[in-house]
Amino acid sequence: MQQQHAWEAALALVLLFLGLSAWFLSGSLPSGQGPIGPAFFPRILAGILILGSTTHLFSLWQQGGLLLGRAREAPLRAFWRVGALWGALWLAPWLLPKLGLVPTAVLYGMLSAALLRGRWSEVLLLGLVLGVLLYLIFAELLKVS
Amino acid sequence: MLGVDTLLALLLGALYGLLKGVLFPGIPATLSLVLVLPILIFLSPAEACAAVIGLTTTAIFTGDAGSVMVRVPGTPASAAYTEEIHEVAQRRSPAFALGLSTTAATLGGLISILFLVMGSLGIAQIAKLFSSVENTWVVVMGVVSGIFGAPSLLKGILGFALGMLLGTVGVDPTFGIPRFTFDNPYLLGGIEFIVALIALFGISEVLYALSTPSPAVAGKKTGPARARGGLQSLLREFFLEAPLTVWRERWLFLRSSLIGVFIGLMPGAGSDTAAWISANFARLRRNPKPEQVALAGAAGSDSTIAGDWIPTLALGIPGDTMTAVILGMFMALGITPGPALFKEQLDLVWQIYLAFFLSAVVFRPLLGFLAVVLVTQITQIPRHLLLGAVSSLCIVGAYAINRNAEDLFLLPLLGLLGFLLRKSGFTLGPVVLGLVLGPLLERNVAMSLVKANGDLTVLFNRPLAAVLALLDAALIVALLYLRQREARVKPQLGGMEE
Repeated sequence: MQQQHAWEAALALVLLFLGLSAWFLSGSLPSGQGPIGPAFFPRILAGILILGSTTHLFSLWQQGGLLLGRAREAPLRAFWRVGALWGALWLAPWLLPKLGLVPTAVLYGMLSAALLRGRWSEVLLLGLVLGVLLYLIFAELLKVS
Repeated sequence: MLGVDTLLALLLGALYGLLKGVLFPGIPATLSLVLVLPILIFLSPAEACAAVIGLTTTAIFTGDAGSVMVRVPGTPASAAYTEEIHEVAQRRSPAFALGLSTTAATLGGLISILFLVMGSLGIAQIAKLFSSVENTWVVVMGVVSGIFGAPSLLKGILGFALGMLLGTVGVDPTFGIPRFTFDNPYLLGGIEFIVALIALFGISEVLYALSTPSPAVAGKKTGPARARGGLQSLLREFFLEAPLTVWRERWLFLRSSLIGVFIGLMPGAGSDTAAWISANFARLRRNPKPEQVALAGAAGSDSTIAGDWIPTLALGIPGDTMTAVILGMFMALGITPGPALFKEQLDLVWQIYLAFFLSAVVFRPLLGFLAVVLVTQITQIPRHLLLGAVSSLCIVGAYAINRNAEDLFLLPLLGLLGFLLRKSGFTLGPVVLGLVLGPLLERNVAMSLVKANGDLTVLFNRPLAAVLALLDAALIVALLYLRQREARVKPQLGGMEE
């Protein structure tokens, strides 16, 4: 339970950051007619996020689950794998124009399977099957260039 | 009439749902739908709807295959009676257990189609009288039910607010002012809904699996329960003995189906709620048999499917996460659900009804039997290979929607958000509902208040609006009651996402 509390605390902080950002950014939007304008709903939603995440953080703090060290329910290398795939995903918009759609997609499929500790023979077979299927469906059938 | 292409789409959708249920019981039905959305938007509206109906109806009932084989429910709904249906499979045979759930799904589906036809036509007639004020209350109904669908109210509210805030990125729908675009022309069109779904469901699933390298994730192969006897025995158990058991328990079946239809009609309360309530009613009997609990759960779960579509088709309000995704697909295909759909695209509406009927009467029994054969013959595909394929499909799907490589930037951003939400025990349903309903709510509220110069009483002045506001209040009370009842009897699902 405490492990989940740590994740909840991390998410609550993200939501608090998003709420505060939306609150300040919507302040620069032009006002509309009466109370209604482009900033009306973003302000309400930002307020909900700020209040809700603060309440959530407070209740988690009361239950004593804020220590981030307790989030390590999995070995550290598991989080390296999450970080590796997450970091690699940022490269996809650059890789796609250079390699092409199907090779890029196959590369990410093989990377994910390898990070999930698949055997190399299985990963290579997956790449081959995915390559053929994605080429047939998306390149040949749907003509996605 | 359904054309050949539409029938083929229905069949392929159903086969995909079957393979999902049998080979990948751990993959949520919603994710399996999200992964094929980039293909569906290339089809005509009738073909896309038929494929979705085939997929959703089959994926939900073949979710029991995982329960039968390895006591792993394929859907949150089948978790309501996993123990019982697994016990039936062990004691009698997998063919009998799946025959029981297939018969319940087929007959329950027929009952719910009857309600779908009558309910959606009736509601669409009333909805013709709606102005932006009434539409506001209808959307509020979807918002309330989406929030109540979350594990905790606070999490539901936060999830919905997050989804709706993401939906405000881009040009404001009422005043035409860019919001949160940071002078980037790419963001003027807002966050692409289907790419957001792919990131929230698909990428987060892979990241989640990477963070929990349990044996179940890292390539565990689990052998299925084996059938006893040959094909003749399978046929007898599936097509004769299971339906006879349903006939013997016909009143239990009928009660469970009606519970399912009623819960399906309520926006936001889906098949899992119906399955838990129906199964628990069966457990309340004196000395309940596992067959009775499994039958009640399956009938309740599968009777909600068409009911979920009633508010989606008639009002444009999704009944659950799955129909929220379907609503997003409608938007991508240029279909506007609501009364206008029944006036301008009545052919499509009848094709949807017909697809539901064919799916229930023809595909469910046939594919149910095929599921039995597969269950007794095939070993599951290792999960790490499956998740590798999910990663590939996410990349291809995110690009194929707009053929714009910049869409791929949303994958790590929203994928990480989905991962954090899942790790924190949030469900993604309220976030998706926020993305879908947020812009609708904003547009209707803004239009109503602008017309009334900001006077809030305009929201209650019209009689129909006042009735809908009261209905919203009644819905809150009913959902609070359902929530309390469910909390008393439902064990923790362990963060399983619909």
